[in-house]
Amino acid sequence: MVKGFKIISLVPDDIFQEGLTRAIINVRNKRFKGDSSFSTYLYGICRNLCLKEYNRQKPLTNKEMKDIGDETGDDYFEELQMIITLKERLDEQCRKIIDLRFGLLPNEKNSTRFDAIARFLGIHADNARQRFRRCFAKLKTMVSQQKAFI
Amino acid sequence: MKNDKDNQLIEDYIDGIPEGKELEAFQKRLETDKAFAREYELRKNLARLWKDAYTFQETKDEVGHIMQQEKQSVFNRYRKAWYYVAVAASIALLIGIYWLFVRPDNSKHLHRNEMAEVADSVIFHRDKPEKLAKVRYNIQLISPVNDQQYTGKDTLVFRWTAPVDTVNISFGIMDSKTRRIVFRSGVSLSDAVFTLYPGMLPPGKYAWYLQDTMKMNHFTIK
Repeated sequence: MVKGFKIISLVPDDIFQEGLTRAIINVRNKRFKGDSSFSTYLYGICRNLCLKEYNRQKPLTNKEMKDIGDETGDDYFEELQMIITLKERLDEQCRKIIDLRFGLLPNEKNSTRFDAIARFLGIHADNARQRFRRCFAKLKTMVSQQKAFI
Repeated sequence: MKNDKDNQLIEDYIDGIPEGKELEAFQKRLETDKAFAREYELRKNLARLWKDAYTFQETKDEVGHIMQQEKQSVFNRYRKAWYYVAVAASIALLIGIYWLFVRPDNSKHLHRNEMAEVADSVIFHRDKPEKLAKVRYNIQLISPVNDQQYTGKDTLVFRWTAPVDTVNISFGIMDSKTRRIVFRSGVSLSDAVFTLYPGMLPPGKYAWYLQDTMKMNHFTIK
């Protein structure tokens, strides 16, 4: 199916990996309602991935765009991909403080409060708060520049 | 500065710090101040997306890892199959090489035919005539000689001497009466002896010789 699109940039393994990951996430989040078989569902996701990439290189007509359904939550995954990209552009210090604040890095008592974060980082609570404020503001700016949110 | 203060309030609210009137004021502001509410929703959504992106990347890496393992497993399955094919092909090749080049060629070997009546049934290897020509006049037939007498139970030991020991030659026994060759075998001159066990020849008069030497010695079996 991927090779049928005749786009060199489409790699079947990558499409399958992305598609299967999205399908798994949707099943976990109960977005997959079971109206079709899982294989059909997965096929639909992979097909939409191919169509979106194809559209980027060769714009589809409005009719063709309508054929790309959104029942698979493509916008949500586009946002996730945006966050992943922006995360890589943030410096290590910002990534770490945001991870701690959002509960992704384990610290003492698994607390996300600034005093616990400060103890973990070995800094003062106010410093931790300021550092997070600065990094989160940076993230918000990057997001608004992407024009993909709010 | 106002933004910093609002962000501080939002972070404190998330940590559950405001109580009583402070909490009521915050919740009321969320209802009345749309910009503030938008800022609060943005903070919550970004946090959710940040965590979901982490989960997504983790899941994607796991899927990629499983795909790689599966690929390796499929590759190993086929590699195993090809391994067996390669081994079978190697064995077949070795058998072919052995059959063509290593297998002893029976037509070249000395073949001892102890009771040959027909000379053609005996296969032996003889040296080239020119090699034989150099030595044949120097071969001496030692025994039996002079019509030596044997019984049917005797072991017949034929002896000779030769100046060289690298010549392969034909040893023969002829029936003196019928002049028919009753026994022939390839021997090496270096052996200098050939033994015929009892019961191989019926009673009669015989002559024994070494090929092309023009010499014959007679013996009798009673």
